[in-house]
Amino acid sequence: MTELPEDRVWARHRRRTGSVLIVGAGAVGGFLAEELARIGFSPLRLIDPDTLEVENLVRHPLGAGALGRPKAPALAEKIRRDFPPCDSTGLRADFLALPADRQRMLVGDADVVVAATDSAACQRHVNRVALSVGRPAVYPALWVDPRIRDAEVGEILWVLPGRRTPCYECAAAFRRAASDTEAARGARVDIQLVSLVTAHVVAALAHPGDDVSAILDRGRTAIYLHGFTPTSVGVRPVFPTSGLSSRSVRVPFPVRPCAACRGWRYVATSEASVADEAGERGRVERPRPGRPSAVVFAALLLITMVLFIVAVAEGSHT
Amino acid sequence: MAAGEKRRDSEAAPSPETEGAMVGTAPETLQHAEPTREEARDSERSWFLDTDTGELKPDEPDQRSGRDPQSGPRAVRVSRWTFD
Repeated sequence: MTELPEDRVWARHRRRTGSVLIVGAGAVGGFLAEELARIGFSPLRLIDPDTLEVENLVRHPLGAGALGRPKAPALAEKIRRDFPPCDSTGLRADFLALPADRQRMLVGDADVVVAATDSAACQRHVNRVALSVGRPAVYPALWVDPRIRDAEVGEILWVLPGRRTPCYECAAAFRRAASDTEAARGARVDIQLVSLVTAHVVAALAHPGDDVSAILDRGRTAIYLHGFTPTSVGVRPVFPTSGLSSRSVRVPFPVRPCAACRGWRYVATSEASVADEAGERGRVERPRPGRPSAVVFAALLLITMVLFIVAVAEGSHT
Repeated sequence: MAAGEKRRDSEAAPSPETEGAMVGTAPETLQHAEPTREEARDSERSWFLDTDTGELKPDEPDQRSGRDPQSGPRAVRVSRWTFD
């Protein structure tokens, strides 16, 4: 069956349209793609260089029948078969290895970009491309840490271009020295929560005028999720009550200009600086946006006046 | 879990020596089913990400509320590694 009556497909859910590029078709990206298809997004473009292995089966939407197949094309085929209204395609490739113009084209063709990889380098590069092309982007991930259980905490960063929000590099600067890690642990039942919330974030970014966009607070662009599991001691201050919960956290612009988005705490867009100021209220006093330029202007004016006076004085002596 | 069950969680914070331990091996701990007053207050607390240290910290300083800042929640280190 390839043709389904549209009015019946969407009879119980208002379709939200748009195109999405998903870099990384692993556990998080895979379930995300399936959810976005059913929300109504089309086309979906998936990119992943890996093949499906036995160790992936416990948490991946693809089943044993796809073992040994490249994840992205296999998943795209599954989505097309299971949900024909979605035009999904999969590319077996490493996004980092693609030519720059191809990267920009893929990102530019999307309304929203999702980077769901296990490579910090890839996440940072997707961030730079999305910023340069001007596309909103989302960065879902799960924590790997000896303090907590597998997939106990999920993390979703979302970014608006044009320094309207801090970018991925602003938020993940402390991970620059960390080693890349391969997708390792966590059960499907816990990982899917992150995919589901990410799908909501993507829908909100793709439809800023829709009521769904109310879930996003531009002043708090990092979302941390705690799954329906006992809370480990190391994260209990943030998640004081047991079970399923989430925190939307403020991410400040860096003190020095970000290498990726050039945003920084003292010279940012008016909206971002207002959001940042609201969070900084009551903390250590810092210059308001615009004050450094006023000081510089005053200094230049003073120097100009001094030079003028000196020139006039010299002229009167000649 | 029964409401009257005692809390058996360890108050010892994880040490840096656990960095090399196997991931996902956090000890089983139990919590009360109903949040305490402090837990309820903490659940309403706002946080920010200190991107220099990689820690989640309370957003509103306790000096403004008149509370001793030493009694507030400690910073929570964000995981250095993530995966998909």
